[in-house]
Amino acid sequence: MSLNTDLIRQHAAEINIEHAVFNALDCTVLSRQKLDVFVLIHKIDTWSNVIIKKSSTNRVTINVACLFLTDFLIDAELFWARNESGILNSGFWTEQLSNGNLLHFEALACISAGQPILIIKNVAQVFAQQQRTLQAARETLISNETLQQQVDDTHQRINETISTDSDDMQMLKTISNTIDKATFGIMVLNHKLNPILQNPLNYRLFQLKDPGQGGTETPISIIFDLMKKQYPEYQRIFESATQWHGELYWLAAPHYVKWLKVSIYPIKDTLGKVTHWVLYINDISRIKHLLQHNEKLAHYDSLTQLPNRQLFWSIVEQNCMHQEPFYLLYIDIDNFKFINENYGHAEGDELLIIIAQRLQKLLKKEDVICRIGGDEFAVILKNVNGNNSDKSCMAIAQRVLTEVNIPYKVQHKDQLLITASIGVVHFPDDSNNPDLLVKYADLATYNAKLTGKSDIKFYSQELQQKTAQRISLENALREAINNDEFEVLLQPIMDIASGKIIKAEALVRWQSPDAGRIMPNDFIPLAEETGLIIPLGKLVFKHVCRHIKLLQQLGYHHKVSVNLSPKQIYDNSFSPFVYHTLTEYDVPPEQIEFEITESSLANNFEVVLNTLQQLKKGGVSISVDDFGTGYSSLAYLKRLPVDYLKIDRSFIIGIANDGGDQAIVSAVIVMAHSLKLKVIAEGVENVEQLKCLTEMNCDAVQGYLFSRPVDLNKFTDFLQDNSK
Amino acid sequence: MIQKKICMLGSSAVGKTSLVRHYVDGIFSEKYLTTLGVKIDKKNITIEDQAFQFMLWDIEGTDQYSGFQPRYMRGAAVLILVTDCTRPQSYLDSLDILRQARKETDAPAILVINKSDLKAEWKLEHQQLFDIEKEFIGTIYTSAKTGESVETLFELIGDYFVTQY
Ligand SMILES: Nc1nc2c(ncn2[C@@H]2O[C@H](COP(=O)(O)OP(=O)(O)O)[C@@H](O)[C@H]2O)c(=O)[nH]1
Ligand SMILES: [Mg+2]
Repeated sequence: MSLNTDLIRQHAAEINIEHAVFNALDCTVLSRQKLDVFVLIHKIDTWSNVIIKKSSTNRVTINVACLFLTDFLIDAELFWARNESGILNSGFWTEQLSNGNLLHFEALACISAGQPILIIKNVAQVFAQQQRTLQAARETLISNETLQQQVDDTHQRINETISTDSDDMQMLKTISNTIDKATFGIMVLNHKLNPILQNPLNYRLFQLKDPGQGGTETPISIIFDLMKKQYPEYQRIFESATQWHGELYWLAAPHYVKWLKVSIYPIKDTLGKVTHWVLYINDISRIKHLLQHNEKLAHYDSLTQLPNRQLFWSIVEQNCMHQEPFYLLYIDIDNFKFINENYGHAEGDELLIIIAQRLQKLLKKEDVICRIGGDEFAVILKNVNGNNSDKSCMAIAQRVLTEVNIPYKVQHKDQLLITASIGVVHFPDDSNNPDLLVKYADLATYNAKLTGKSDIKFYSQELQQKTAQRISLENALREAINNDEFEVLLQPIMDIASGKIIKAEALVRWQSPDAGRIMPNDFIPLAEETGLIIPLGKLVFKHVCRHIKLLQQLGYHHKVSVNLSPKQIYDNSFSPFVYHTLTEYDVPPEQIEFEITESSLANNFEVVLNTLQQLKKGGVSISVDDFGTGYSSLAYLKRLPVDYLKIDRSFIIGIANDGGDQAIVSAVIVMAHSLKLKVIAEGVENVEQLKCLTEMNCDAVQGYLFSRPVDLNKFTDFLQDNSK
Repeated sequence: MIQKKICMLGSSAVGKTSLVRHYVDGIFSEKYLTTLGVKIDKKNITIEDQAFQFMLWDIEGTDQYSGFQPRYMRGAAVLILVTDCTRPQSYLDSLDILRQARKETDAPAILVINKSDLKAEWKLEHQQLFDIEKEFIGTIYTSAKTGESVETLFELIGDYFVTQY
């Protein structure tokens, strides 16, 4: 055998292999000769004629009827011209044959050995497989969307009825009309979590006999049981009166399994006190069943591709079983609702994907990241090194926050800022029980959120106690507002030049029947966090008006200044309330001053400006409190309708002997005067301080040197003495 | 004969495929079969003696499983944004999709509110609807099931093309 024939045989063998491969892949392969003209390398007899037409012996052109492929060639030509490596993919398209049959294709453009190549692949199998998966996924998506929408609509109606109908019987009647028609379970509970109304569907959902026909189990008892087991944080939901959405898995004996989607909403009165709870229960077993056929969809979040809550649970359980220490981090995105509402869900989704990617980039391969709720992620950190592993874990958590804080580029805005709050627990130090770990992580996150967000909190027993205390304090405060357990004291403010009392600052004290007198520092921050500051602020304002009225009757017409918290500044109803109340008590606006803290200016300047201008229009005056502690610049002050600056007590303490404080205070006074603002010094306790301030041309002073905050009687005594 | 490319856009299961099927083949199926990628159908139509060939690009719905494909917008003469009158979210999605399409093409867009045979239990605020509608050259309620206004939709588009000549 000659060498020559050997080579030819080998070549032929190679070609044969090539063709066998193309056949197996179900590909037609073309090599581009010139624009729109190809050399046929391999064809599939059964379908190539749909795509290509023979033009001469071995030249072919693309069938013009194949619009999609013709369009793709525009991109392919550009791709070949750039002589790039890689493959350009057309994506799937479908051709319909004259007999109605459908063929599914994908085209690939690449360059092989310098030659532009076009591959057309019949993707029948992949297509069918992907279609099954996507079909299930999309049906789920739409079912969820529809369910949520029905629940939202119904809830809006029920919420309206409960909030507006003062007549209980009428209210129940209206609601029962609504819920009887519903296609899902609805329950209305009173604030003690006892059902007062539910539709019969609830009993059918749990295969229970209708009420009154015996049996100790009720729908609500089953739901609470399931929540206790599957969502250890459930207690906190009720204690802190927050909305909740989740899925429950119900195993009814012996082989019967149901998936329920449960939404829980608190209904609150104007004081924010929960009067009712409404539960919505949807049977989503069919959807779940659909998903369970598909491992990936059942265990991974479709948006971020991260393990979902179900998988997260089994990972936590497994890790607990292995007995190796780990940290569990809960990462909760702050104010995510705001983003969804203001920029749209598409943008919200996009953000979540970016956040997931950033977390993945930051953490090690062996660390597990899960998406366990709409805007909640969980991280399981193993092998945290160092002899102080808490410290290392803290450093990691800090890096997570930093990473999340990097501005986001999204469609509408190229600088979207996001913060997150993180709660951390340790296995086995904090607990060796998966349920408790998750519950504690939730609790720690909740606390991180409370302290102004963008914070990290490690779980501890004190934290748990503090949370419990906080919740009971919050309830007590709500009661206190309801029963008006507050007293408003007045602290005189003296004009330095004349030595006369020119006005008074109103200061609130809580006179609790159980705990005695409680100072503002112990409840104002809580009131601020919970929003109770709004009703409390209004209550205090009414007290002040009453005081002024009484003083007027005694012939005194002093101005009283009232503290305004940041939340009140953002409350649209506040300014109308003020002027309504002033009219009601017949108090002239000139007798009212509002004190805003410097730090509340820092946030949304335009909003603050707007509120203050509105208030000022009616005739009240405004002062800036705690001046010097924040970052407000002169530029700010110039634009605000402010009349007084109050220099914070921290500068006054050292004014008689600290050169630094002296310099600051004197500079602030000069600056204020140049802006035509008067200056009040707070916390003046001795004559040395007063002397300094007098020399610096300070206008007025307030502090223990003259008087503590006193009740109205004592204050009138003061006025009497002072006017002698 | 003038060829015109028309893109069917919108979130999944709003009825893009069904509208095309009804228009081209006069059939409707209750069963939902999700579209993958693209399928192009052709339909000839004559309006005021002008013959057109519509090339109807039925494009996979845009949702979290499948992103918007700018490439498919090339050469589009009209965009049909399909929404489902029973799903408020589909309106918002359509705006989002239109915004992305606008980066690629200035082709006029028509808002189709499909499934008009079903009762919508909700409605958009006037302002909201106004904001949406001002993005479109027209709004039309259709049903791929009963066929309501399906022909009309494409005739409107034909009319629009005729006025262009
Ligand atoms: N009742 C009703 N159902 C429709 C209508 N149009 C589409 N559908 C149904 O909606 C589902 C999705 O339709 P399809 O055309 O596949 O939506 P696409 O994803 O936008 O292409 C199918 O189950 C259709 O039967 C309509 O006008 N009325
Ligand atoms: Mg479709």
